[in-house]
Amino acid sequence: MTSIWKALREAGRNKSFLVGLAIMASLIAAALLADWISPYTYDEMVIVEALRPPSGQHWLGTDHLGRDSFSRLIHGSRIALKVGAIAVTIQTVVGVLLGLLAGYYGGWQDRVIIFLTDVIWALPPIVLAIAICTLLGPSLTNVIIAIAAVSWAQFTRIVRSKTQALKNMPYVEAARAMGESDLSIILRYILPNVIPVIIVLATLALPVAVVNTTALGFLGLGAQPPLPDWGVILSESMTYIRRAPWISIFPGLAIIYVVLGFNLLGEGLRDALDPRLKV
Amino acid sequence: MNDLTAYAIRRIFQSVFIVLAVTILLFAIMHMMPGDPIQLIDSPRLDEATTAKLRARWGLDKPPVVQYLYWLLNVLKGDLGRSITNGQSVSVLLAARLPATLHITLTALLLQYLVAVPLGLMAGYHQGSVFDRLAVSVTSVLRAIPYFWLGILLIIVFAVSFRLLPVSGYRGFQSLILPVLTLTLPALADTLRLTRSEVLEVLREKHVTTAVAKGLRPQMVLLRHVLRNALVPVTVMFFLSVPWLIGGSVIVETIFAWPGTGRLLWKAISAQDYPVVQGIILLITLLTVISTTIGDILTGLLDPRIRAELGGRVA
Amino acid sequence: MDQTRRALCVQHLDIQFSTPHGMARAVQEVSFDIHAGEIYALVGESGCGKTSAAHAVMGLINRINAPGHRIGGRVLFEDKDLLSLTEEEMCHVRGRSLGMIFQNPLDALNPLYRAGYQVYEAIVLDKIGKIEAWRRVAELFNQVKLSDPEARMRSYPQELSGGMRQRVMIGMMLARNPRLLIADEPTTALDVTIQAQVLELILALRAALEMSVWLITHDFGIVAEIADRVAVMYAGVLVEEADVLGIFDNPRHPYTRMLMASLPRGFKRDGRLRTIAGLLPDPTLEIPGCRFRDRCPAKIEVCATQAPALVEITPGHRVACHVAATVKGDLPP
Repeated sequence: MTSIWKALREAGRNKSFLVGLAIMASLIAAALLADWISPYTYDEMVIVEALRPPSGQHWLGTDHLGRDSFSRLIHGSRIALKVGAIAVTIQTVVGVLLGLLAGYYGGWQDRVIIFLTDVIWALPPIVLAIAICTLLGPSLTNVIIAIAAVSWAQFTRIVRSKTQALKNMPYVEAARAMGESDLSIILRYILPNVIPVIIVLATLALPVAVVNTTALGFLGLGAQPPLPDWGVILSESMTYIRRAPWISIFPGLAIIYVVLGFNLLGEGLRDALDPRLKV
Repeated sequence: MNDLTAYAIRRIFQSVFIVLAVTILLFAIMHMMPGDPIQLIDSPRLDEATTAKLRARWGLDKPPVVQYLYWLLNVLKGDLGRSITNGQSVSVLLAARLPATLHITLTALLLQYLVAVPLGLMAGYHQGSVFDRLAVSVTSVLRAIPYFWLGILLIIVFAVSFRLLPVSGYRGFQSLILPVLTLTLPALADTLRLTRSEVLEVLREKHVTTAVAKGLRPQMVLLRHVLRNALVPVTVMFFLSVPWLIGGSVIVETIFAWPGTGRLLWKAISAQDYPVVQGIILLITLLTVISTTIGDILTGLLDPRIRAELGGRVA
Repeated sequence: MDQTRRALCVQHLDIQFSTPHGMARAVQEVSFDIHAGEIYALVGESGCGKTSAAHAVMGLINRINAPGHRIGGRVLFEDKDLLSLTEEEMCHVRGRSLGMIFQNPLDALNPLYRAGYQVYEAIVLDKIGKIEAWRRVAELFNQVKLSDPEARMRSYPQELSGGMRQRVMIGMMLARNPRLLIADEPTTALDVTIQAQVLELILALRAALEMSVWLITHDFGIVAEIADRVAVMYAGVLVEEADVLGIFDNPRHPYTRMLMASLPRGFKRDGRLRTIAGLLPDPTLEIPGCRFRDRCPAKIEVCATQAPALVEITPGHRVACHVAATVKGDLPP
C-alpha cells in the first residue's frame, strides 16, 4: 500500500491530475451544499417567470415552468454523483470478484465467467441498459442496477488478466507451497497488486456512469420529473429549443465538466499507478 | 487448413453461441414480463375454456424450455412475432426501418475511419506541431461530449441559429448531415487519438529504423511500416466501437426524429410494445456480434502473430 | 592495407541529445578513418556513445526519435559529407552504399511482413524488375547460408530463430552491394555457437564483396577474431586506436588495459575475473580534464585539469592519456 501513496504523491505533481482533483472537489461540494448554494429550490414553479433568459435574478434563466435553471443544475449534480458513485461501487465489487475468481482458479469458472462477459459485450451498453430499465420500470434505483449490469465486464477482464500474471509470480507460488489457503493468497498477495488498476478503472468508469444515467433520464427511463436530473432537464428542454436554447446548453456543459474532470483524474492516476494500462 | 481459416471457424462458432445465449436471456426477460399474449388480448368474451384452448394452440401451456425452442424456431424462420400496438409483423417493421439506421451508422463509420486515420497519422508524425496540439485539444473536448447533447448543440447552432440545415426528419442529403455528425464526431475523436498514439509507439520501434536504414523514403516508411502496423490495433478498436455507435444511434434517431430502428425502439419502449423491443434488441445483438467477429477475424488477417497465436489446431 | 583509400572519414563528430536534465553530450569530437576493405572495430561499454556515432553516420537520428538533438562535425563518405546531405539525398546513400545491421534481429524486422518481402523491398529501390528482384532475394538468402531459402523467404520474422533473423538482416543490407557495412553488436543477442557462424559469414562476405565493415561491440573476444583495426571509446571520447595486434600486445590506455584484464582469458592468479570499479560520468555535466579520471588507477595531477588529446605514440597507434603518452615501455599495472 505504501507504493500507492508514493504513486499518489507523484500524481500530485501532474498538472492534469490536479485539475481533475479540483473539478471533483468542486462537484462534491456542489452536491453536498446544493441546498445552500442554490438560490431557489429545484421544484419551485413561478409560471409567469417561465423561459426567461439568464439574468441577475436567474443566473442561468428559467425553464418552461419558471423553475430556476441554476438551482436545478446544482441539485442535478447530487443525482449524477450519487447514482454514478453507487453504480460504480457495485460494478467494481462484482467485476473484481468475478475477475479474481476467473483469473485465480481458471478452468470451468474462468470459461463460464468469460462467456458471460462475451454475452454482455454482445449488446451495446446503452441498449442493454435501456432493456433492463424497460423490464424493471423507470426509477433511479433501476438506473443504478442497469448501469452496474452493463459495466462490470471490463473490470472482470482486466482484473482476470492481472490475476493470471500474478498467480505465477514466484512469491505467490512460494506461498502456495507453504500451504497458505487460496483466500489468504488472494487477499494478501493478489488483491493488493490489483488495487491500483481498480482505482484507475473506477475513476474512469464514473463519467461513463454519469453519461449513461443522463442518457436514460433523457429517454425517460431514469429519473422522473420533477427531479432535476440533467438528462431529464435536457429532454424537457427539447420542446423549447427554438425559444429558449439556453436551457439545453447548461446541463450539457455540466456533463462535460464531470466527464473532463474525472477523465483527467483517471488518466493522471493511470500515469502514476500503471502507465501501461490501456483503457 | 491454414491458421486463419481455423481461427475464423472457431470464432464464428463462438459468436453463434453468444447469440444463442442472448436469445435465451431475451426469452427469459420476456417470459418474466407480466402477462402473456393471451392475457393481453383481454377481451371479456374470452372465458376460461377458450383461453386454455388458445394457450394450447400457441404452445403457451408447455414448459418454458419447449416454448423457447418454438420461439427460436420461429425466429430462425424470420418470424419475430407481432407488434402489440398495431398488429404488424415485427420482421416487416424492422425491415422497413433498418435501411434508415444503416444509412446513418454506415456513413458515420466510414467517416470515422477515413477521416480519423489520416489525421491521426499526421498528428503522430508531426508530434508537438501546431496541428498536433490542435488535434489533441479538439479531440479531448469531443470525447467528453455526450452523444445526445452534441446532437442538441448541433441543432441549436446549425438549425436554429443559422437555419442552415433541417432540425429533424428524413429528407435527402441535408437531413443526413446533423445525425451523422452527432454519431461520428465522438467516435472520430477516439479513433484519431488511438491512431496518433499507435503511430507514436510504432515510430519508436526498431524495425522502423531498419526500414529507414535499408534506404526506403520517408513516405514509404510511414505508409508501409508505420501506418500498416498502427492499423492493427486501430482496426480492432474500430470494430469494437460499432456497438457504441449502434447504441448512440438509438439516442441520435430519437433526437433527430430519424425513422430508423433506434427511434422505433424508443417508441416501442414508451408503448410497452415488448415483441418489437425484443426484435430490435435481437437485431442489434446480431449486428454487434457480426461486427466484432469480423473485427477479430480481420485482426488475424492483418497480423500474422495473432493468426499464429489464435489459429492453434482445430479438431 | 592501402592507407590512402579511405572508406569512411569521421571528423570531430559531436552528438548531443536533449534530456530532462539538460543537453547530454553522447559523443565528443570523435575522429577516425575506416580504410577500404578493412574491419574496423569500435569497442566500449554500453552507453559510451558508439551506437549513437553509427546512427549519426547513417542519418538515423531524427526529430522523432531524438527531439532537440545536435550533431556537429563531418562524415566523409564517397566524397560527400553525409551530415550535410538532405534526407532525400541520404535515401540514396542508405542501403545502397551504406548498410547497417542491428543488435536485436527480432525487433529489427517488421513482424507483419514476410522475411523475403522485407529484403525484396530494399532490392526494388534500384530499378529492377519484380521477377529479377525475387530471384535476387533467393540468391541473397543462399549467400547468407539460410537453409531452405524458399521456405525462409515465406516465413515471418517471429517464425525464425535469432541466428536466421540476423542472416536475413545481413542479406537485406548486402542486397545492394554497399561499400561499408555498419554492424552494431551483430552477435550480442545470439547464442555462442550462432555468434561464431554469423562472424564467419561477415568475414566471408567482406572478402567476397570487397567492402569495409565498421563493427561496433563491447566484446574484445569478437575483436580479436575478426577486426583489423580497433578503436576504444569511453564516455563519448576515443581513448585509443591501433591495429588489432597493437591493442592486444601493447594496450596503452589504462581503460583499454582494464578492459583486457576483464576478459575471461585474462584470469589472474587468484582465478577471479577482474571488473572495472566505478560508473560512466554523467554526460550532462561538462567535466574538466580526463573523463576516465575517476576510475583511473594511474591518474596524475594534470588529469584533473586538462583533457588529454589523442596523440600518435607509435605509427598507427594513437592514445589519449597523459600518462601513456609520456611513459615509454611498460606501464604500471
